[in-house]
Amino acid sequence: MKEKNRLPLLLGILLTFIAPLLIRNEYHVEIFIQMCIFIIVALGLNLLTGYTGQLSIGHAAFCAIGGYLSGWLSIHLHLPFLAAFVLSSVVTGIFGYLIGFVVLTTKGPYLAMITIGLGEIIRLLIVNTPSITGGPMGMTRIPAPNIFFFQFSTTRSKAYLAIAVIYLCIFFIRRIMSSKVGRAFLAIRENEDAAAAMGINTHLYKTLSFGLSTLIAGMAGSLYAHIYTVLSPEIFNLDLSIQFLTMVVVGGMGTIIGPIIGSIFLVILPEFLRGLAKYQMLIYGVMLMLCMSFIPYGLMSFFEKGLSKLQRRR
Amino acid sequence: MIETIIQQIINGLAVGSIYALIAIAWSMIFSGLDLFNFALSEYLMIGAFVGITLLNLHLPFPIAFLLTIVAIAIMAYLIDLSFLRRLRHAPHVITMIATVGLGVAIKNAAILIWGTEGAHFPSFFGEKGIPFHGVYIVPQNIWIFGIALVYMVFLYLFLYKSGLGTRVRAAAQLRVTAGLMGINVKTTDAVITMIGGMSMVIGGILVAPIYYTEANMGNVVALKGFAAAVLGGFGNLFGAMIGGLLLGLIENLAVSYISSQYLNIIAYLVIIVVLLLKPSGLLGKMKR
Repeated sequence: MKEKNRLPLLLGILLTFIAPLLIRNEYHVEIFIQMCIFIIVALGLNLLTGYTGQLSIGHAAFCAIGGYLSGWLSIHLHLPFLAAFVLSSVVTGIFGYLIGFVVLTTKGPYLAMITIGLGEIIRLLIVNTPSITGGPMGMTRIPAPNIFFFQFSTTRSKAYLAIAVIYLCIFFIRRIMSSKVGRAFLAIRENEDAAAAMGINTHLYKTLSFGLSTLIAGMAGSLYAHIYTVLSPEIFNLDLSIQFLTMVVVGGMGTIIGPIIGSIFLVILPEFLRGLAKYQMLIYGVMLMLCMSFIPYGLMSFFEKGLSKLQRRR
Repeated sequence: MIETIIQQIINGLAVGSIYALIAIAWSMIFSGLDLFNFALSEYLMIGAFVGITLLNLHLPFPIAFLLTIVAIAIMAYLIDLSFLRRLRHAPHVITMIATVGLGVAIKNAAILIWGTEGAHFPSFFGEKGIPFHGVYIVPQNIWIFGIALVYMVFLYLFLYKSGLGTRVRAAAQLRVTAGLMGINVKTTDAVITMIGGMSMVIGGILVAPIYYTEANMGNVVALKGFAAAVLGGFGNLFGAMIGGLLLGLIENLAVSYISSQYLNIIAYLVIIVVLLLKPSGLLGKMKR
């Protein structure tokens, strides 16, 4: 691992810091922020799907919980952004942990259905409790993020905030994955029965993975709420949950770079295809089919192959 | 009071039989090919659109109905042959995302062909209720239930009483072993794919007069069908039927007691509770 060429990685890190400055168009900065939020959720979902091998098609709902909770805390209790952010993501994580504890006894299509059902239930509950969430009209006038005395008022400063959260998540996930907990996740993904036979409490670790992944989804939701200052229940639907899963799978499950590349690809691709007007979504679907049939293990595996070829030639 | 309940049971059985058809498609494809096909909802939508197109050519309803079924079965087979066969041994998540892409492609192809406005599917069986001992019986509902029932009986006879059907069930149970026993797995795959497509399109044509026919019509119904398949348990024809009818009944009985906003919440809650008590659905067996 140590001899690995670190140059592309360093260049990538450098790029993230200058990217918001390089983008001239304000609209493109907005897309960049959206992409950053998707990356955060994808990183979290990857912890569950990529590393632990469990499925969730309901992560949009956990984003919604994080976002609405954070918005409610700062509107009604006047909590500062940092406190609302931490509190809402931790509460979302605990909620996810409790749900995972009950739900992760099922597998495959049954788990898929339960997470779809949970996602829909949470969304419908948000729509139908207007006194707390604003109902179908959405929650408005959520204060913009600030840390102590610094106000994140410009779009570029918000982009840097989102980048900072991505790095926090990457650090957090790397720490987990290099610990005993991370190795337990991988063991469960490879063979659950064998892992159980080795003395790993599979249910406990699966639940933990679900909790951590929903905690990160909650962080993304909270960030979304404060950056955009409005929340509408309609966006946190099943399509969004499927899109999160698509990002993880297209990028490459079980790596850190994979979900990032997947999110960038799936946010930028429709923008590039916009010129095709009515053929946009048709081409998008076909591209997805091609990706899955020719590089089923993700864009990441594709790049890795190219990189190792390059190195061998040298 | 009793009339309302009977009324809701009749409506529930009609909607439930549509769910059951879609659940059969999900169940057959998942247990037979080990495939999560998220594009199935689009087969339903394409079926409704092809049906409308054929009816606009002034074909009589039964002929248009049969032609649509054949057309979609062939379409399903060709899609399987050209694309899904490549993913036969890939993990579930990957086939899932691949079929999501397939669904997006089919849906947008349909928008290019038929436009975004959609069309109204003519009702053939009469939407007007006929009073009968204080209960309004809508002929359309009786026809829906009848057609679905006839189809399911045929499917049962095919799967459980014919040679090919027995081979299909064997291949669905243990693919490799069935292949070693001299069963042509490619044939059984094709049969399973076609049954999936047929069930979806029959469901689509039966549901089309109730819903407005447009590119997104498949989403909600197909999701309900998936829920029904999970509720009944995969790998079992009766599971899918019971799951579908039960879901239709729950929805329609619940609607007379609680507001319609909470309807879907109740339906999903029931499914989640059932799965937590029996993680493989009502009639399903745990696959290890």
